[in-house]
Amino acid sequence: MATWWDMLEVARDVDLRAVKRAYAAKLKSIRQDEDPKGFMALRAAYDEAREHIRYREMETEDTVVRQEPFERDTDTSHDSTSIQDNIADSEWKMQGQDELIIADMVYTPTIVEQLMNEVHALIRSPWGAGRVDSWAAILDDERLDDIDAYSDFENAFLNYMLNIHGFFDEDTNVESKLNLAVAHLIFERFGWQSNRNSVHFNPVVYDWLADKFFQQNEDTPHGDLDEIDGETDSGANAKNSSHSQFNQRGQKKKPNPKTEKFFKWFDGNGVFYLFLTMIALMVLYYTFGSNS
Amino acid sequence: MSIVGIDLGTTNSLISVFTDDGPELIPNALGDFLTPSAVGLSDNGEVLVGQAAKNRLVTHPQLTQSRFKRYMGTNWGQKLGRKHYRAEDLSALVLASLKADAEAHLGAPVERAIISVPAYFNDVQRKATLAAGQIAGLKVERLINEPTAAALAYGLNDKEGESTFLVIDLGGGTFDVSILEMFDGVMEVRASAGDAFLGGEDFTDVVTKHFAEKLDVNLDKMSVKKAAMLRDLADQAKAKLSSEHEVSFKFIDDKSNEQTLSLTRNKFEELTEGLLKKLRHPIQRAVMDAGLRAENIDQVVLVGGATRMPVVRSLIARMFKTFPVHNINPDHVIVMGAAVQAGLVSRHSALDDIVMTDVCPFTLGTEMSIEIGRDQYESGHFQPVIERNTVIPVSRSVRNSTVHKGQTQLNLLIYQGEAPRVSSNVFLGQVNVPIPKNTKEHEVVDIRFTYDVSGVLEVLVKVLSTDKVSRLVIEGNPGALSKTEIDARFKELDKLKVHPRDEVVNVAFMARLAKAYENHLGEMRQEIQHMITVFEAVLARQNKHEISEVREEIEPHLKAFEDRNIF
Ligand SMILES: Nc1ncnc2c1ncn2[C@@H]1O[C@H](COP(=O)(O)OP(=O)(O)OP(=O)(O)O)[C@@H](O)[C@H]1O
Ligand SMILES: [Mg+2]
Repeated sequence: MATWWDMLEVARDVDLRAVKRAYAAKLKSIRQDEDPKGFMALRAAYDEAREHIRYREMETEDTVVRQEPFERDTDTSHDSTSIQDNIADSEWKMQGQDELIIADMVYTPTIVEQLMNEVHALIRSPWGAGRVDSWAAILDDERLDDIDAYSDFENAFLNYMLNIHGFFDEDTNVESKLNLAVAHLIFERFGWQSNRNSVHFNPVVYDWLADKFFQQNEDTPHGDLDEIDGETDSGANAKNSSHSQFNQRGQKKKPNPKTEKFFKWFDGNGVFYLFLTMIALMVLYYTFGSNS
Repeated sequence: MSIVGIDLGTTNSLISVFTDDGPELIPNALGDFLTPSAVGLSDNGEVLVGQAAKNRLVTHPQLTQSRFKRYMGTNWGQKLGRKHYRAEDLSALVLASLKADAEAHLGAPVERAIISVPAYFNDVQRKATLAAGQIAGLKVERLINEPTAAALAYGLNDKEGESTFLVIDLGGGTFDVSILEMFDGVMEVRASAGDAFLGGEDFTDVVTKHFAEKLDVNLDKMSVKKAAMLRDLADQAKAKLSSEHEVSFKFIDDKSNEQTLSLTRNKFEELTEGLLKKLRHPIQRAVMDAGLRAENIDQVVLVGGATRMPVVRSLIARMFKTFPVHNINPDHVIVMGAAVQAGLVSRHSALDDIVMTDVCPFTLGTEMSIEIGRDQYESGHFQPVIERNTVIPVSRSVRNSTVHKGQTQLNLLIYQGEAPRVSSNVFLGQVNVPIPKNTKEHEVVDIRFTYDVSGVLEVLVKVLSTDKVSRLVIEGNPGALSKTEIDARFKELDKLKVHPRDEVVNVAFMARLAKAYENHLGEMRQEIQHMITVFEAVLARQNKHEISEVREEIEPHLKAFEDRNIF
């Protein structure tokens, strides 16, 4: 098998622009309809080249992301405001740390942060978990008309839901914090159950959340659970030889960079959370600890 | 011999060719580029296609059909006269009419065509479109996705540049979103999304319902004729609201009372809120699938008649914080792109440095069982084989094993969709594979899906132990036509008497007069009756020159009646 750089006749350390140019030149000599195999081989080489370049770029990017919280610290002369900024910034990401939020913030939260604050407030308010109208109001907020705001919100919202339900702590004992109607609304709005397999997301997280929200109640969105009774004769005669839907994905040579990035991102923030928790403990220590 | 490009739309269809000067639209017998996708029978039982049939929707609702694209690949059917027609048959009649227009225009027989389909058309709907082409006596060289065609038309203006653009196509019955990247003469579709059952006609339906409520009538209980008139009125109200802030119409109800119906832009926006919400999701998904931010999109291009609605434009402007472009007439873009594709397929020299690649807009896979315990399986799971937005042509395979030892048949169910359980996805068909009896072990099979440049799926199953490959035709979808059925239909439609092309102008004119007659009462009606009598008299004398003179004479008067907004 020829390597991608052989196929495209480029050097291994090429940039994206050169890869595209090489691909375009080769593509013009192939007829997709008459030589699908030739096309598929070229396309595979092109995809691999781009993945390779993306991977390379991501590695440099990640080092920057990891440093970010600390860089911000050193950026400002005023250490305390910088910490306040960071706290405000991540308020919705924090659990039970309300005492840390400082009233007059210098920092204006982004649209997504504002909405996530609303989400956080709603989930903690009495009956909030079941207020379908209040949840719908957030999801229908016109500030989410903007496509970027919406993408960011969906990401943040998903992470938040995973986080408060113990996904990242691998805690399986957390009970669903939403009532069924609200969970249905959320899954339907984001298409998390009916509209999947996007290259953008890792399906594992949706299944995990769906299990959390619907399994205990023996109910899944869109009546998905109608065929659960094991072997019926029509459907049960083909099975995935890897025995698990997701092993199959894991067999890919390289992990999906998007998924990879998603977890790396969280790792990076994990350091940051640890940092915040330490501050929280310090504050608690100085307020209560020193008195006694 | 040239290949023609055809846009077979829900409401309007067009045909074009690629020439040395680029895509060229071909006019129909009436001199229009747009041929309404309406089919009917004339009073003496001949087939009418286009404007004449569209006008007769109101006067002869039982003899006329429209909006059948929505039923492609289903068992839907309607009787016209004594014969029963499926959506494929009606579409074939539209195609045959366009073919005749092209032959008259080019002075040569036309046999090969590229037909555009909504990107979000599924496998069954695609095959139905191919069948319609065959029934019309056309060899369909390729199907092209509508937004991709639009991008080809736009991209041709800017061959050298490197840019990313988003095409939003809201037609009469379907909604498509595609993201394209162009570089070095390559036009690459990055992602497609859409809704095969959402279009301008749904906006008309909402307005019709609103008017029915205002009139306090039940649409289902109204006479077929009156219901058709009310819908026609609603359609025009909707279109007029695109340029005016408030519209007002007169409607003559079942009891011959004249009623005034008006609508403001604000009310329209309120009525269509739900539909606008449905437009959002596919756009968002395409952008997220392509991994883009708003700033990475250089242009948002609007295509399809329904994007003329200000509510749609402002929604898109809010989403992208930029004003969408529509430099090319939104009604013409797709057929122009189809012509470009025809040029590409016939290797026109003007297109030497252009290539286009498309994607499969939805995930294709099979049903599978997952082992949930020792010898315990749960069926109903969806196993993706080709993931959505994979570049085509593509071929992917998965390895599966039988659930039972000794199993002698594999019943493979094929689905399209994005849900983890097949029950929420679209069933495409099934294939049965004989398996050698093996009581000791589970048999292993490789299932290969191949998706070709037209977006048509083929499935191959190889039993590993015997190395036997079965090439499988997907069957068992209740809506799909078989090869023999297609042939039979071709022969039947070929026998139908189609209204002579050179008389179509007169039939269409007469249909307009008849519609105006229905829409008016009293003295005005008598005036129109007079025009009809005069026109009928001149028709009877069969002098072509004289007929066209009288037609031109009547035209301004008829137009004046039509502009009165009375239904
Ligand atoms: N000025 C206008 N304002 C609002 N709607 C309009 C206007 N002009 C046309 N339309 C609507 O556009 C639709 C037809 O658009 P178009 O001709 O692009 O669709 P089509 O190609 O026939 O359908 P499709 O592509 O969905 O199969 C109709 O619903 C029509 O009412
Ligand atoms: Mg169209």
